[in-house]
Amino acid sequence: MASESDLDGLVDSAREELRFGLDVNPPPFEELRGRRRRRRRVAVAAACCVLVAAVAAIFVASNPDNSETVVAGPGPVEPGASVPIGEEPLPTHLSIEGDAVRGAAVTLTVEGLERFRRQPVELTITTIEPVPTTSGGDRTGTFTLPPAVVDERGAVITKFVVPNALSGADDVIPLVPGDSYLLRINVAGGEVLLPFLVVAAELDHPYVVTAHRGPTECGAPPLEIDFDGKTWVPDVPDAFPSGVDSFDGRFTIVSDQAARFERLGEPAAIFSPGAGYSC
Amino acid sequence: VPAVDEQIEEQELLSFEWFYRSEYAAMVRLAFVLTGRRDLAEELVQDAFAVCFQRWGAVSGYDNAGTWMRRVVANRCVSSGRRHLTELRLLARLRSERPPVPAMSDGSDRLWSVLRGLPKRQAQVLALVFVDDLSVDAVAETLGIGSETVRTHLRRGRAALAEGLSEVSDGE
Repeated sequence: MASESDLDGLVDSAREELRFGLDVNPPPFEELRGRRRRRRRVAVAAACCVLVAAVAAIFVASNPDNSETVVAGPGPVEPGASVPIGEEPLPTHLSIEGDAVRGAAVTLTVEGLERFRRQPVELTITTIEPVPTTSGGDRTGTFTLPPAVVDERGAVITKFVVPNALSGADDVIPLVPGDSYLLRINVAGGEVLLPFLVVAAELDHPYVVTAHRGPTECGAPPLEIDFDGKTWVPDVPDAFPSGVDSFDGRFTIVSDQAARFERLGEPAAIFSPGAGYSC
Repeated sequence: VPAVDEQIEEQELLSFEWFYRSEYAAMVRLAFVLTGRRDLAEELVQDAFAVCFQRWGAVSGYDNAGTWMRRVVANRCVSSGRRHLTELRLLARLRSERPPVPAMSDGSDRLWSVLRGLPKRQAQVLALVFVDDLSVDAVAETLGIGSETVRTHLRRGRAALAEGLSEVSDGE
């Protein structure tokens, strides 16, 4: 065994060699800005690999005699798209009715789960991989969707509001429009992973949202719509009857400073950006 | 006259660029020791800086942003998942030119090679002490573990390193 002094001497000389032998110059600062797009592309590719493996695993687990074959993988799921993630005999599809914009209500349908009829399903949106957090350490962000059950057709249908952020222990991990996440489907001890793409809101496009009365003790406005990372408040709050806590409707952003909120049978209300608040 | 927001953004950009230039080489040295490959080390470090840039508003407020960066780099270097992703990115970039492999003596090569074969935490602790000359307390803060734990990893790591180096020598 090398002695302590031998080791210290070797470490000293190796450190010096490293300092002078590894001639490193940082690439131009501007190059860093382009890296995020590359990271996204590779992350999506990796997610597809994970997906293929996961779907294959769940199929093998539910089909021990291996009498059938599976499977193909998709790209990120575009809003409104129906994407096959497997070939016969496991034709699982994910479709999203509505756009996956933060704050918008969407209906998510997963079909092809005939093997799991009447089984409870746990649906979770997660980051593709652990991400660095402000409190230190890397964590996987998660958001659990409302509980669901596979119906007689072998489908799971659930409605939910796309969150602004995922939670990772004590950290808040923002959802970023344009980034891909995973929709994790846990059923009967197995797991399927599907890519889930969050998109940014577009101008002049109606989205299904809910206007809420926020906690006024925290400085919240009397009524607000939290949409795509921004708080919107009505120009005329009195247009909304008191005693009602939430109002469903269609929300259309017409400019940076104005949006239209339409409820069934009611005249459109104009909303403007509001100030943030916190408790 | 630029708006106040623009001035703040400009100052943040400047402070990040200064941080990037001043810490880049040290981070690559640390990553090189933990990965054994210069191209992978640079890719991992640039990726870590890209993350740092996105979060610079928060990271720049830390007592020591360098400590946060070292933790991110050290963790990325020993995380097999992240290394695979980084390898994928390297392939995707299709660069024909590879950075030159640093010329090291046989002794240095052996030292870093044996270090990389140690358990992940021991390798991280030894790399931070050997490469950056960090104190036990600084390593503890960097990795987010206790000082006593660092001392234990250091003691066991040094013993394993000495033994590993002897085995390599005997094998020759």
